[in-house]
Amino acid sequence: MSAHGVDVQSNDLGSNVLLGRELTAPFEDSCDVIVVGSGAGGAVMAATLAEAGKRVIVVEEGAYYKPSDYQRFAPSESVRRMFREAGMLMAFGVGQTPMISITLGRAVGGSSLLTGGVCFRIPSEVHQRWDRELGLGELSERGYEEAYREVERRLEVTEVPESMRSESTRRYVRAAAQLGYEIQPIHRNTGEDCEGNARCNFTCPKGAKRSVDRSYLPSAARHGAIVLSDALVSRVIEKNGRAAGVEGRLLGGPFGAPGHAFKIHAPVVVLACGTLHTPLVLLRQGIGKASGVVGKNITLHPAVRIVGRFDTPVEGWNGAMQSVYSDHFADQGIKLVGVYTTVNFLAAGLPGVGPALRRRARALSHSAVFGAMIHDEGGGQVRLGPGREPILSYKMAPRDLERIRKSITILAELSIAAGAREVFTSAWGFPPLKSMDDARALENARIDARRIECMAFHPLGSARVGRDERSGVVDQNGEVFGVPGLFIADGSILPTSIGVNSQVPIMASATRIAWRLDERFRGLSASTSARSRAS
Amino acid sequence: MSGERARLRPVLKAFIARRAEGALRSQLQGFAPRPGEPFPAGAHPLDWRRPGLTPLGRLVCRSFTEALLCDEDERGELVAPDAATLDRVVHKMDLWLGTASTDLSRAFLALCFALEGSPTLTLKRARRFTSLPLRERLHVLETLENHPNGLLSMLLTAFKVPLGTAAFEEGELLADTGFDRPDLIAPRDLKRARAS
Repeated sequence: MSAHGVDVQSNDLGSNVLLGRELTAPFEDSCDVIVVGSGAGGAVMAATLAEAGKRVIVVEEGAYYKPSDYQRFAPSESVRRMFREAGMLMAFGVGQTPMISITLGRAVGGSSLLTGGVCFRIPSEVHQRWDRELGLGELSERGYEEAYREVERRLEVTEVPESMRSESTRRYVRAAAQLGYEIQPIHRNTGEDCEGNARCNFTCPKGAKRSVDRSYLPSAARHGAIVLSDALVSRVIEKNGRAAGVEGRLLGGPFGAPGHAFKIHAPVVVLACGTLHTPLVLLRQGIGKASGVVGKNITLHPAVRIVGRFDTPVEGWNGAMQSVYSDHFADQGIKLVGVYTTVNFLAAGLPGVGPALRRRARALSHSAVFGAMIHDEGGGQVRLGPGREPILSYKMAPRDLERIRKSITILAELSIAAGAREVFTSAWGFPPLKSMDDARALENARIDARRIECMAFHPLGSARVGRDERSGVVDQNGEVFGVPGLFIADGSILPTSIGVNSQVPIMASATRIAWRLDERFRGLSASTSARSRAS
Repeated sequence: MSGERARLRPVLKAFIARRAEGALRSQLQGFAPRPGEPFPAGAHPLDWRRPGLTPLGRLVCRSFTEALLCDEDERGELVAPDAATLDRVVHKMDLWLGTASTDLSRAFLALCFALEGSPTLTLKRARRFTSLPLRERLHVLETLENHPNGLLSMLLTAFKVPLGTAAFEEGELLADTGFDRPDLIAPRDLKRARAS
């Protein structure tokens, strides 16, 4: 039994997980640091600070599943239990904007449970821009170097070997070579353990992926951190102008009714709820209002994929989900990425209905898939919704729409060069492409952008770093302007689009913030105590 | 008069309580445990135990799925998928929406109304989608997919992607794709892969 009168689970996080749904009374506690959110940012903060001797409580809205349980989930089970909004989260397109579905996690471990495990550092030119154009000198590549190394060490980042490439990817790699596109291997957080089940984004059945519930949170737990799951934070408690804790309610009352209230007191609060949810807390309390950027300028890295049907078997499900990429079109803001996900999702995304869809699904064993992601300008905005979820709108810049159209053409050409008989694009209602001319004609066809289906996995930038409170929400150490003791450590603080998968960048940013916070902790907590005594 | 009201109040309260309980019980019927799921719905404390689909939503999803997955026989006649497949797909959709926020459930209900009314635009006839015969429902879906107005394509996608995903996850539909394992949980057989 824990101090709070509940049976704590014996699991991979030891007895340090409190399941909010099983608490039978309101919860109140205090600690040194509260971390709200247990994803890539929150878990890193929690582990780093707990290892430095701080008493940490992690508050997570989602549920906790042991790896041994979630490794047995069918994709639909993962979607149901671990995806936010059961995988049906969409951005409301404004004007000529494609439909964009967004994948986010909602469980202990956050979206790190659902990534393809791809690890990129922020490109040098992006760091340079932050340093030189935005005046954020501490966010230079050099300033991140040590944090990158630390994250990559803990995640066991390794290059995906050629032997793990699926036949789907191999065909596109050969075609890229013919067309003169340079292809490079991807790095992932699977160590040497990946078996090539091509379903990383629905959890890894082998447990090879070092999601943060396996790479960071166990260490946090060993160092005394408590994870409170099923707990939704509604506001940050402010006292004497400083952050002093959080309050909210536990989830999982009968029939989804509100559960018990909880309140946790601490001199330091770290928000790591993710780009779409951190701004909700800020907007509710008017925090960061002076900057005028809370919830705005969100970048998504919209992505499209293409399916090519071949005469010979491909069986792309044998191999790593992602193993190669190409920056051949980086100057046009396009990154090509080899990708192959579960067949049920691929089948559902094929064009056609009824007999046409069934015929195409039967040809999936002869089909290969490739994708592209664009480096977008950032037209997303989060607003408070009528319920607990935010409303996300996205207005795609004309330049980015051109990039999406161009990406489809590049992928189609690649497919034709690879020998595909038919190419199915992400533009709904168009006949399959059969030649290079068809591909180019599609790019020039002025189709309604809303007929293009995009996906996004990396929302970033809704509470960006700035030099002062007029240009950003947080300073370069992640502390919110005007609210001492309140920090943000997730993708929302990144000041621009980064053009690469965001997991390592978020984790490296959080590592930096945690190190700085640790150095300053004595001062932060002392000033809270002094103010409390004075008041 | 006020004495009459006071006498009726507990009777009325009991009546409302019975109706509310009945409504909740009927809504929870869709959460019966099913074999083969690691945590059968309703059997795990983390389940919301809240239905996602309204009766209209259930009807629309079933009708849509039937048209989405119908096939042709040798004579070119349309063949609807079997009832068990439809039940399975609608059940999964119900579970998904039941786990998501009520915001999403409400938005999905609005989409169900839109799909119900879509024959007015696609067939130019004031008929409900769910009242149409299979061939006409299929025609409605084809028209939505090919419509130059992207909003109508989006309406189709909002149903097609989740319902299709649930459908192709298991059974005959998964086998049809040629996937070489019994289900999507079974790990890849590396020995076989290396031997080949």
